[in-house]
Amino acid sequence: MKNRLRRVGLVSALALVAAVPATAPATAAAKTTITMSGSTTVAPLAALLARKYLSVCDHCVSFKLLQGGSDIGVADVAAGRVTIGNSSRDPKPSDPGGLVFNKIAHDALCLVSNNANPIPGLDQAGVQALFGGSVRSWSGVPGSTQTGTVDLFTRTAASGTQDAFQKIFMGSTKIFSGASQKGSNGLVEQSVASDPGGIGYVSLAFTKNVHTIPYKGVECNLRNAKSGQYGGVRNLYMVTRGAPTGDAAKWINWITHSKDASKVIATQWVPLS
Amino acid sequence: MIKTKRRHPRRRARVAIAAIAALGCVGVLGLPVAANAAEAPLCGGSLELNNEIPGIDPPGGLSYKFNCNSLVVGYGIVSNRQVDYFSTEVLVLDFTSGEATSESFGCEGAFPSSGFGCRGVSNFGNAITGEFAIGRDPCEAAKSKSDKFKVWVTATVIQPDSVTNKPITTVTQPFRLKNPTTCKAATSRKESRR
Repeated sequence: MKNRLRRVGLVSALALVAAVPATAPATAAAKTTITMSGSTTVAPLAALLARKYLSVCDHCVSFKLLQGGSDIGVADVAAGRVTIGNSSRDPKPSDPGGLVFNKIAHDALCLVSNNANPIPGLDQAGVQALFGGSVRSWSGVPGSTQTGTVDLFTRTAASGTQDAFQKIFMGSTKIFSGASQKGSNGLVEQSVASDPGGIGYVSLAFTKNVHTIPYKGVECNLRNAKSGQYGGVRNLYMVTRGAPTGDAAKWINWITHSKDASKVIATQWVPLS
Repeated sequence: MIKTKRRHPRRRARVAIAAIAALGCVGVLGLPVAANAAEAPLCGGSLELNNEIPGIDPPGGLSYKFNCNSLVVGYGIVSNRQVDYFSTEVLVLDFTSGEATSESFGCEGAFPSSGFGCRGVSNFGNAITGEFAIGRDPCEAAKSKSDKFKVWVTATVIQPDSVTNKPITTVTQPFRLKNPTTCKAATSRKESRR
């Protein structure tokens, strides 16, 4: 009997604990939650910036960070599901009306191969031949240590990185339909890192475990991206429905104008000024 | 007068956590509870101090590494400290070679909060390795036993059902990640200087 009572007590206590989260938001209502979704390239930057912002503004807001890809972020903010849609691509004519693309930083888009296959360099024609599917064997690629099939890794259609890669590197050449599609920068990095015949493209922040291929004779690194020498640089955005207001405006303004934010951005990305 | 047995606080905490996990499985997700303890999925891992996370001023940065004896499709990291940063993309290393696999996880959550959740895939035994940061020094001396820095991982795993052998999705109990060993080394160095 005692045991049964104890169990009932425990269950009641747990029910109370479970009920707490449901009532918690009411007490924290004074604090705004800035919700963000979208680009997997912007996500790590947003996470670092959020941490810094919380410390400088004394936890004036809270953040919720979701991913999904740039198109998801743009669709989410247009539908009012999030405060900010993170995007690593420029605005498209097909985007819903009334959106404001707030530029927050620049990012270098790097071509990457497996560390066992350190390709010494590619020009635009080389990138188009490989990613367009006209060159399918590494034996046809100058400087390659591999002889087998080229394993292409690209991003899914919702990706801003894919959109930027198409614009900057591919021009009018379409990406080979047999390329393996990955949902995030990290997945492309991991796929290339584990496949000696792999090649892909990722944000500079995701190049730790792979070889970065110089493009048009220029290394893909932060210095070359900052100086403007590297050709594969794109913009990163926080997209809002109309001009940002309230806490979202303060947050975006802090990112684009404060030295603290610039310092965080400069660790792996290129600040606006 | 009713005599009550005084339970060890750690044991009480464990019982509460296990019960919360069980309630979470049954009540929230409507998933079956593992048939017996021998078939229950197991996970284990540890934390290391990481003062080299770009953009994170030390102290507070940590790396975590854990694996499970099942296919992992999601996990949550929860701490009794305020978590104010987590890596949004997480690597999975091969359990034999330690080399990168093509598996990975994407993480989402709130800042600040008690933790975060990740979706992806990791095959049996492979090591899931990521980073997060807390608002305090992880090596800071605890004011009391209950104040000791703790981190747990709960994984969503797929394993064969013990009766039908069909794959089922289940949520593990929370497993405590071992605290950074470098904290102990730093503490013992301080003590030996005294």
